[in-house]
Amino acid sequence: MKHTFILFTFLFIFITGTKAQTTVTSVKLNGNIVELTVTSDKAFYVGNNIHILHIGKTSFSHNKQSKKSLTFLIPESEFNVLADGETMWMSYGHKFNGQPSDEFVQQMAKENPNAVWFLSKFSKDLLKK
Amino acid sequence: MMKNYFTSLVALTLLLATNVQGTYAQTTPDPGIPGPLAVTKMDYDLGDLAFTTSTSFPSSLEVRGNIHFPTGLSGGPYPVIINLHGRHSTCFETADPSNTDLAWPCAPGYESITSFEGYDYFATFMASHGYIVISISANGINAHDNSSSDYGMDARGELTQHHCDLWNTWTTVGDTLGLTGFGSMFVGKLNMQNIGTMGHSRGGEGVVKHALLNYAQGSPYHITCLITLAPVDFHREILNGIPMMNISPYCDGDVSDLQGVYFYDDTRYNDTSDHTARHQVLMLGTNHNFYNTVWTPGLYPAGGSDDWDDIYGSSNNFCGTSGSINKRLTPSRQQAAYTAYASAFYRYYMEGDTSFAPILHVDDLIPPTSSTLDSSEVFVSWHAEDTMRLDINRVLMESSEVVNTLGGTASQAGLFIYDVCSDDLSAEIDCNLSFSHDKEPHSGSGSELGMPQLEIEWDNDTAWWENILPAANQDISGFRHFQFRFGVNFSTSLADTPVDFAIELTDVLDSTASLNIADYTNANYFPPGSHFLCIPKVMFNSVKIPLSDFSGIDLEQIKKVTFRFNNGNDGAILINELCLTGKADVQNTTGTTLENISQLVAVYPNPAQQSINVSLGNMYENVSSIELHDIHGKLVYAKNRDMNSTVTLDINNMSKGVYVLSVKTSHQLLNYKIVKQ
Repeated sequence: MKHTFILFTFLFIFITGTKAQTTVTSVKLNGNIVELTVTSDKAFYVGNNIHILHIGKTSFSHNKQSKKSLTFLIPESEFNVLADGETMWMSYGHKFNGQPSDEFVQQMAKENPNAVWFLSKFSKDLLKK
Repeated sequence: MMKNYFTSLVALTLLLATNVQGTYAQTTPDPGIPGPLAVTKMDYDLGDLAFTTSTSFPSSLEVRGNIHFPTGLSGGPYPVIINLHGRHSTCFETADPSNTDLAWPCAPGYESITSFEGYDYFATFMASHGYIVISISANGINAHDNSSSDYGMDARGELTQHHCDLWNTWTTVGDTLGLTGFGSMFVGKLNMQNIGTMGHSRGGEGVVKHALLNYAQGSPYHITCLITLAPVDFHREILNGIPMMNISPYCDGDVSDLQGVYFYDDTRYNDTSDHTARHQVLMLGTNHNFYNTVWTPGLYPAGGSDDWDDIYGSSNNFCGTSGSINKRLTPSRQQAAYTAYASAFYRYYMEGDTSFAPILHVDDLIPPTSSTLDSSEVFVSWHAEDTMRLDINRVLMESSEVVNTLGGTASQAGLFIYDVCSDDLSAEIDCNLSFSHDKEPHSGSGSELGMPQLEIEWDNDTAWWENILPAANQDISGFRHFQFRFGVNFSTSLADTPVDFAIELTDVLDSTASLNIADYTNANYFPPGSHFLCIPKVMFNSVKIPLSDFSGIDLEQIKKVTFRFNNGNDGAILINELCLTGKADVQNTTGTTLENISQLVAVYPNPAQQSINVSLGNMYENVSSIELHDIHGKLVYAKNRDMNSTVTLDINNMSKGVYVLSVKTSHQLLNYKIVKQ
């Protein structure tokens, strides 16, 4: 609980970009899996495509979905090699030709609030061991 | 539990009759007219956690479904269709249906959303034509599949095979589980050697995996054909040897990149032993969910969604339902469209009813009346059986720009762009039409290859592209059509304007005949709609031109095929699959293609004690051998000549156990698992 509270505080400091109604609310280590939870004030669509968490050029999609949260399951070894300062964003499906800029992601998120979400900048410090 | 659905059938008939628009001038029968038989529906439910997969799927699964069948079940065995739904919410709160959940089993106070019932309209329809249709529930997979390494693909395949195993028991020895009303009523009624499957969405990938699993198990059941409906293809599974049809909804808001096109594209030329056909149907104005009535708002108490509107907004022109240009089909029209095309497909392959071939083979430009579609709303691709086809230029690699598949020269003059794209992992993983992969579904993306295609752009009337036919291939008189597959490049073509160009054939005496494609297809449309991420999309559709319309030339001596971009407008297309189709000498006197042998073979009884009958119908002359091997591969019976329409194998003295019966033709090997009791 204490760690979760610290994370919350840390994340609020870290989060930049658009007004966040969809945010990273928890990053925990469970065994050798990092569980990164994205929470929204609106339910995520339950369908056949996959929600993709993009961190820089890397993406993750295995997750546990509940009504207003998605908990992405990231192998610890893959989490540890992610670069600090990369943009974290999420999409429902969608592949792109090339890596979109922050401004472009924000534009997509603004025009497609149920398909693209701009989250924050990534830091491995999100995970407080 | 038993309920007569005759009233539903009447309602469906009225629904289809009142939705008619356009005309249907062809002589092709309408596949969407309900059949004459009354229909009965029964449910079965063995429990929420009755099945555990052999793989690592994180939950046990329900074994639940329903069956639609001709009332009375006289005669039989009937061909079998199996429906597998996709991913959707699994439960809703009984007291407040607006409160849905994604859990399994459902929590107290909640009840399951019966997604498997969403295809009852089609099950009722097909049962009225003499089919048995089974729809299976997969909520347990939906609740847990996103944390599974394969998103539930293997589990869907296993669950489908488990239902096949159950029904194989119920049609051989009857019910042993005490299911209400079952008893022995289905004994001898299901033909498990003539199964068609349909998977919607994640279920689409599921039925492909099921067919592969069934094959890996020695083909205990014969999957005659399958439909993938707005499917995912996360894993690029390759299924050869089974005729398939992929249906793509242009306004799919869920699987918006229409990735199911890969099921067709990936399996065209990869396996020289695969002699089966592929079909692709593009339906403009259709979304993802309305094919399933349980997923459709207003038709079920909980969980319904208009996927396009809910994800991308209703105000979008073309795909949004409140846009100023609303081209969306109503749910009833969308279901009627599916019914017509799926019915044509199943009845062609499972009954050998070739009267529906013009719909599947791109001969009919006007859709069946019952589909409610007009010719600007539906487009078909057909990758013909290789026995009916001669490929001129498949366009598989960069060298296709200069040498075609026959070894002849390919060349061009005056084209602004002439380049094979989506053919390599480096610079041309896609054709660079848009930043969004959704807009060019056939292309590759990231580290995944797509379908190679030739990008052509012209800005003058003198531009041309030609393919030389080598001397050995210049007699094309044995074929009926010249065919290719293409889409209009929205990024550089003249907006909202159909393209047109001419196909010119030249014989060895330099006589030419030229025809404009606009006279033969509507697939030259400019891709409609505008959305930041999703549309317009370049979708490939087939164009077919009768060779008999090229007059004044000698079809026994054609030396080249030339595309002339001389219609006065600039334009840009993406194109491949240049071929000749309709080779006359691969059809027998009954008009049945060799492909249909698999549908005509019946093996019975199975299990058996004394003898096994192999019924070959009127195709027995095409069968070269029948062999029986034991489980260790040892040959225990062989017949290589003097085939009759029915061959009887004496197995009385053989040991009890499992055997594999192989029926060989010059083009196919059909295997059946036999149990000797």
